Amino acid sequence: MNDSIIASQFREPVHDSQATFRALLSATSRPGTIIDIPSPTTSPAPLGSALTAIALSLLDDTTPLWLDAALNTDSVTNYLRFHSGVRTVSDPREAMFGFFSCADTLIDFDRFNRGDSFYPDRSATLVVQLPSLTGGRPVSLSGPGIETETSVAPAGLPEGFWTHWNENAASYPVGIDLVLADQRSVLGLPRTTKASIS
Amino acid sequence: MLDDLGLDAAQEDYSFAFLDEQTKRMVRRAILKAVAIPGYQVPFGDREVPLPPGWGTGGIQVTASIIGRSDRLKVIDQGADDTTNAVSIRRFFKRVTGISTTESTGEATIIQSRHRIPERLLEDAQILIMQTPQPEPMRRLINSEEQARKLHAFARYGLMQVRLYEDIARFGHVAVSHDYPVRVHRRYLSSPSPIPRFDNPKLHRNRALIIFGAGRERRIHAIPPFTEVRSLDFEDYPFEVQKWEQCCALCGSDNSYLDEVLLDDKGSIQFICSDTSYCNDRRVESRRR
Repeated sequence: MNDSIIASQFREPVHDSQATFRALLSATSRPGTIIDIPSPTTSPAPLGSALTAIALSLLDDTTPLWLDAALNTDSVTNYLRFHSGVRTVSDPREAMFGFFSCADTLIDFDRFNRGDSFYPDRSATLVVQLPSLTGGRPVSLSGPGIETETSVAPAGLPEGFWTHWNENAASYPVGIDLVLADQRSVLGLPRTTKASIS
Repeated sequence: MLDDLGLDAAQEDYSFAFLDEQTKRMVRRAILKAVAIPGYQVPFGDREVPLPPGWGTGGIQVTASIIGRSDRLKVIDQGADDTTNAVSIRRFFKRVTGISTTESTGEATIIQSRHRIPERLLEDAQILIMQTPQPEPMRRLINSEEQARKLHAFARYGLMQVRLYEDIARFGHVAVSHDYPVRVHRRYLSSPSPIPRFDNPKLHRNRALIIFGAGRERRIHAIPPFTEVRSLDFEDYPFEVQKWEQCCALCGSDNSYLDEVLLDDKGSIQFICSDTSYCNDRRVESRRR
């Protein structure tokens, strides 16, 4: 533990957490819309600014967190443990939140808890860091929160991601929810969103 | 220590928006899941707020978890901004957040409401929060939470259709004036909270996010924007809203929800808009003309 960890939270923890939550709420209720989120003063590399903000805003000692291999470093876990009291787990099934440093290993959602038909809310939320939320291969999204359809093109998603995503959406109401993030903005993909690749 | 919490001098006596940060995080996580599963009731941990259960504690906790410094809050009770419950909740949030409030539907970013959806069409940037006494639409038919959960899990809602059918058999029409059950996103049967069924069509593909908070029952459910919301009915008995022969005595509106008001001891009555903001706007507009 050192001074840099202790000092570097949100500048205004109460209001910045609220603003981060509102950004996530907008992103979840309007899938496909890219929403800016506040940045903490610093974030422990390789955990990006947006993921750090989401962690500070939503995680605490009641939300087991799974980190992918690249994020599972002392600097990240020390930072998160100090600021949120979150417990990290190695078994994805136990995790309420899963954080990914990149989308390469994302393809297998089934490792995470998808809830059951009695309690579909007890499913994992996965947060994925991407190089950019634009400039990738365009897909068209539809579902609740989208007026007719909307086009998104997040960069850095693995081949076959959208097919796998549609399988997740097809098992509605159970399923995982996804938040895609670049350095300063987020894009929500709740399980109700369906993708069509043009 | 207080500096670390990001409070300024005016707020040192209460946390911003009253609830502590741990509680807000818990409610926020529940809200996000509720939005991801439209119409499904997500359990949350109800906290004590300075208001008796049944007076909007669920709505208050949702509002408190959402509200930020740049928001403008409107609170209505049965459509009116000037009723006791609405005034005290508005004052409460003014006291614990210091944010500005409004009585105009168009100016608000967050609208907390009891039993009405404003007549004016809501916009993308607005969030409507409904106070909900009983979020489980089948509670009057099934006492057991376990049984009701099973029916939701298997989407077996025949019981509710039978309940509506019995009304038709007995009275010739569905005799449910408030809290008329809806199917959200073709999946969950949900309570729209005790709004008059006049307001049910406004839920369908509304531009605003709608969140329902039930404090005593510890449940939050939500309807995201542009979500299909269908009121239960039958092919030969389609869903209908209430209609009036009268117009509003104050603004002359013939398409708003009207309240019957007793004027004197002789029993004379008058019909006026239940949505005071809508009625005022119309009167201001007609004076300008």
